[in-house]
Amino acid sequence: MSKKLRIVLFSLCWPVAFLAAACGETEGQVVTVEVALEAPSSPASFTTATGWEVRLDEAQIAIGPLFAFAPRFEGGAVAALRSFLMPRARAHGGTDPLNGRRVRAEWLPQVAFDALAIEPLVLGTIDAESGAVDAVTVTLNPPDPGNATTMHDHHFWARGEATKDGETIRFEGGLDIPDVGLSRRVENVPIEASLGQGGRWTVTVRASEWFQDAQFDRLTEQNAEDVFLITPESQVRSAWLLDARSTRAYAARFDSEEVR
Amino acid sequence: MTRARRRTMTFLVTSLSCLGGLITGCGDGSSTGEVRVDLSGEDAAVQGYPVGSGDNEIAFVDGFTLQFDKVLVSLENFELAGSDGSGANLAADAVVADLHLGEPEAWVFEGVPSRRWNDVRYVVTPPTINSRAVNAVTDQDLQAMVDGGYSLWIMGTASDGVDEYAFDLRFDSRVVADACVNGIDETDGLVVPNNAVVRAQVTIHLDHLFFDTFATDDGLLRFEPWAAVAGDDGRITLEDLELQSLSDLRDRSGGPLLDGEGSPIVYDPGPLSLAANNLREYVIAAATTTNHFNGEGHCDYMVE
Repeated sequence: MSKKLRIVLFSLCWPVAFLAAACGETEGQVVTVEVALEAPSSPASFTTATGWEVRLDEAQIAIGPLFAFAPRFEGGAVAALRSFLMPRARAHGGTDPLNGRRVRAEWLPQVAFDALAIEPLVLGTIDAESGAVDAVTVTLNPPDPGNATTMHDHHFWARGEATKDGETIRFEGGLDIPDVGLSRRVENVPIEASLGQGGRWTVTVRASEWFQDAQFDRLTEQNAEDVFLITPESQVRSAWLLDARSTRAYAARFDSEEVR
Repeated sequence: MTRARRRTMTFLVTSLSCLGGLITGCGDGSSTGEVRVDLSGEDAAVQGYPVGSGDNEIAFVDGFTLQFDKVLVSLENFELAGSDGSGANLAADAVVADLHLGEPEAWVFEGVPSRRWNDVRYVVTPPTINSRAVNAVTDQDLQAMVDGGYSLWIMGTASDGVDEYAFDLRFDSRVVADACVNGIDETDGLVVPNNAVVRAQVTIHLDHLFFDTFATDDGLLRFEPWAAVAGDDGRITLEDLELQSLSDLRDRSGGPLLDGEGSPIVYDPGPLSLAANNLREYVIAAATTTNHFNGEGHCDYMVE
């Protein structure tokens, strides 16, 4: 190899070496984390924004996949170089703000989760990327065949009792989310955390938010047991559709290995 | 110069140019161009709805027509940045424009380094008394925007051919739009040519305010639920829109707002986060999505 060629090759290695050094930070390492679902304490009884006292006897959700995203504006030399080398994709500013963002952790299977559960449900462990996350996306797809019975063939299922001004209404029904655009994704569930080895990523499902805008006295159809049914045309279903897809219906956090 | 010194110089020059190119995005930094930035609410801001023709017509699906009287918008910090973190440091001042009056030129930047600037960004934010009016914005309107903290103020009238409804919407959001795609060529940002002028445009899409969904890109424009909550004076404000529950939208007769098949219409906020499920919060969130670049170019946006 000529001296001239060696000089050229050495020169070309300069940026590569610089990149390697810059990328050697803690952020971006592969780490193992646990994924869990949980319900808040006392999720079964609540008062809606419409003034109904609600007691849920059953609250099921088919949930997953789950994604945790790095912040949009990562700082530092690593981010600048990464951005330079891997320009991010973009989508419509009005409909898909998370598209193209960096996924640090994802749980891909679907789970039929009892949103009244007292104990957290540990789903398993995943390989994730260490570093900051600031948003979670929850996916709400139709129930997998294995979850269909639990879910009564719906994306959501609920049964309970609502009381207002001395009137008590027993209700039950399922919610199906149309496959339209981004309707089956709940984006921007906030999380402020840094993923690290051995921690637990928990997504909380708040069933108490599902019927905040419901007017139970607008239900009209009853079954043989005089239970009012949440039909697709009902106001309660419309309210449930909005409320169950609100970011208020979810929360997310990451507990480090030490905290766990 | 000896051969050894020449080799050393070759090594240093090659190394530094490679590293420099990596960091600056390969611009040499010596050539410059001029950037002129217009503001636009497109034809709709001037002509109202319907606008366009044929497949490109934008119209209300429920038969309303609409005219704007004012489309006042306040912006600042138009900036160009490279994906390497460098910035053009344009130092854009705060401006206010009435887009109903046309497409004013807001800024002229000379001596901008020639290169691709991958990241076009700007901020829609309430003005200060020192904000510069770039067209015939009245002193009273600017003062009202300052006093009320409005970044976007829209007034106009809609009609179904029989009844007229005036609307007056004042938004106080601060929205950072960044990483804008160039709507002309769909590339990232903007290329500043050497020794030449490039025109750019901050484009406000007013139709977003009337969309019935943000879960898809093909929302329909509706005015009926707005008209249904007009006050006795026929005037509609954001406070009036709060009367419409998204889970129980009503038409002017007081009955459920139905689609052509007789099913209830439920507005879908998609990924927009609403403080409450009513039409006021929906329209406020919709207003944060109106900011574009060079026509149809979409931007990432963040509400502060």
